Amino acid sequence: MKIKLLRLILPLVCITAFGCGQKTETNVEKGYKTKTLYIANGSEPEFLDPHTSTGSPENNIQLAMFEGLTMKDHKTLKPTPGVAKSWDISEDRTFYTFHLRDNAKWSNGDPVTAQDFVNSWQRILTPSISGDYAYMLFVIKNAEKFYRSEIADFSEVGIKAVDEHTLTVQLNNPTPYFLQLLDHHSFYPVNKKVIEQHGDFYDPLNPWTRPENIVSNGAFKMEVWDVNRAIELVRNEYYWGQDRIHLNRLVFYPIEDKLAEERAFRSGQIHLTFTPQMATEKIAVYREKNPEALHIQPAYSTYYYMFNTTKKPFDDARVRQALAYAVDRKTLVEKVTKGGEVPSYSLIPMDPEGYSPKTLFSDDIEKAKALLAEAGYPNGEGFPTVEILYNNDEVHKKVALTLQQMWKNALNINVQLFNQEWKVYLSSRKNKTYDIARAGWIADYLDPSNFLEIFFSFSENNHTGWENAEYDQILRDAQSATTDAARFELFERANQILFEEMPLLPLFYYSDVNLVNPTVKNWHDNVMHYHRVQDVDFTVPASE
Amino acid sequence: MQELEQGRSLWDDALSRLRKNKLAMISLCYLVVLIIVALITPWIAPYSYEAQDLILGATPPSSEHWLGTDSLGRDQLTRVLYGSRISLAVGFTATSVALLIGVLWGTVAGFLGGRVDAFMMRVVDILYALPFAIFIILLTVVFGRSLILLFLAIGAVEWLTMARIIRGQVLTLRHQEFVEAAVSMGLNRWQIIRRHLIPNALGPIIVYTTLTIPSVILLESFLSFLGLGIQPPQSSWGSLISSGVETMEEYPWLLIYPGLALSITLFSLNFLGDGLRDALDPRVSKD
Repeated sequence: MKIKLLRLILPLVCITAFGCGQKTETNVEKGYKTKTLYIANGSEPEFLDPHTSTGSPENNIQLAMFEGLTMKDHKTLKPTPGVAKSWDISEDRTFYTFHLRDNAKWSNGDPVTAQDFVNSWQRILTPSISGDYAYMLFVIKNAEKFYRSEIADFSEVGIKAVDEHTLTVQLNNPTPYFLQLLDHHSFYPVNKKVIEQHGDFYDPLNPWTRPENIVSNGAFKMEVWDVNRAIELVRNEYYWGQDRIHLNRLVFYPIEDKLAEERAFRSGQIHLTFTPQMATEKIAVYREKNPEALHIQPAYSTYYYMFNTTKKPFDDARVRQALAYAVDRKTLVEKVTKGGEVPSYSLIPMDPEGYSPKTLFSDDIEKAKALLAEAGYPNGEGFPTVEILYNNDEVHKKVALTLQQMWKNALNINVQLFNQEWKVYLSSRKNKTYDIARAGWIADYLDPSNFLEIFFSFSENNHTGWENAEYDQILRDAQSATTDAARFELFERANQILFEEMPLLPLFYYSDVNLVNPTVKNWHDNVMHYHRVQDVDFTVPASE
Repeated sequence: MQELEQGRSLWDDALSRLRKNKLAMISLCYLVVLIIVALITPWIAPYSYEAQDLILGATPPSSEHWLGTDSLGRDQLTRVLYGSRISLAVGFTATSVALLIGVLWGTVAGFLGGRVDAFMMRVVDILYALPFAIFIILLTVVFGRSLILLFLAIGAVEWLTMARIIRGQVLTLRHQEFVEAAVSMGLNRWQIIRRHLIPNALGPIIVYTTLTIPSVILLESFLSFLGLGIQPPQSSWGSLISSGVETMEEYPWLLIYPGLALSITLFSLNFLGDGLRDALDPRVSKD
């Protein structure tokens, strides 16, 4: 409680302290002179080890500090060279050869070598590190076996350093999104020599990520980590692409409270907000008064409710479908969430350049009533009172309240709401002590498999108790399919099964809502909420 | 002179003194009206507290919605009325529980003194050391989420300060002449506590009670936020205020009206408490 309160009050105090005097320069103005970008970054990061961290506040900072083999283009999200200056792909698309830059260096001046990548990937696959994202590497041959200790010799895993600047990777299947993965923090290199100076290479609690110890290979490096105040990064003078960087310093403020964040932006304490949401009721105000600062971008991510299919009444697919039909999604996104979200009828988001799922159902109250009657609850009679579980958040609460009313009006069933703190909520989901729970999935990479694989019967993210052998088989086939056409057809079959079985109820596709000062240049909105600060610069207003 | 004084008990006396205190009487009337309104809310509320009108959304006060509507289009007047039921129920029930335990514990400890006192106060110290939120959370986790239990749980942690204050008061009283007189006249301990100690400690008791009610009402909104108190769409004043704060720039009426309701009620409780203390103080001589 105390810490939370402090986090809430501190930024306020700062704002009032800075905001009062007319003469005082705001951070935003100071930033133009010193080339410093001030960023609101959500909650305080836990730790910055790219192999063990999971949150997006950590990820935002790591993106500036580390660099994988590839990067992504701001606008198109197509892979561009990172530490690897080029790569060759074999005919069957399962064997990659990466040619690393000679001038890629760590922030302590050491060269970045192919062996660094081999060491790093061995590190994250080592069970003692137990990174939550280790599974991202399972596309590599034998990586999963090594992770599960079925093989002990890492040389059997499909990663080889041929020489200092050449790295080869053998995949299990042609994985069209593999180059995208290389930009994920689980694939970032770490400096073994430095880590071993501070303890064991495979110890997740090794203090090498402390601000005075950490060494990284990206455009920026750590300078100050003042817990609960700010993290400051400065330009890494050893970085290979000096001419690409325009800024000298990045300051990340931990501002958890959405209202405080908006106030900090309004008073000129930050140039931009990095968390993809903002206070709902403020959106309309910005639309009207300050539209050029408001960035709204549909995202490759889905907001859905999931059913506990092991419990009555949701063990019946007809009941699950009835509830899905009985939601007025258009009103929900226009009147409740208000951030430009798009109604969704599938787990998988639309991708105009790739696979978009077919719309298999609609908002249809008559159909919903018929399905519920068929399942033995005509006009909701005999339907037990069920609970919606959600984690503490204003938007989740409003969505739950709205659905509660919509279901009551349409189907005459009683639903109660139940909120829990994030970690308790997660364990309730895992232990299946819920009826209906809210959930969301934000893509780790731009591919439908990232969504569909949540509902693998053995997936650690499938908390519905729903299992379907045919579905599992379709996804496995998709993994080894060689052409896009074949993959997309399999995805559509999986989508069809999800509709028929309805273990989850799609509600809408998220949209990212950010405040960005119009003077910030080269900040491009994209569906992955992917922002590299290397390219960011200011168009300084000509005031002086 | 003798005859005039007859027929007027101490209570009559107090009542007449209270009647003369205008502020206290206005407060009393307000509270009585408030309680009646809260009791009959289900019959007089203009709308349902959960019915939404999403197309309407948040609107300022109008002839149809006297206090406006919230962002889901729910009538704010109805929600404030229903909120008063929960907030008053929590305020009064939890405070009564705290009062009952606290006063008894404090007087007994203070009056008996010695080892009993030491033991009883150590119990209080130990309970003090427990973070109260965790204590309530544990209670609600063990016994489940029910409104009655929430009242009792809050009451069960709020009595500690009360017990300490009363004990201190009793300690100063127990060696005074009138208590010794009562002992020498053969009154038993219970009679002394009831007749002499509690009435003499009434001042601090009442003042502290009027302070406990608001803190209990606010505590309820904190617990509701954690998911341990009431659940939406039910509302209490505390929960209305905390959600009103988030949109106070866009929809100020969502904060102002529940805030007004809460602060007027708390003022009334304080004025009434002041009046009661003055009226009931046995040290005020008869006129």
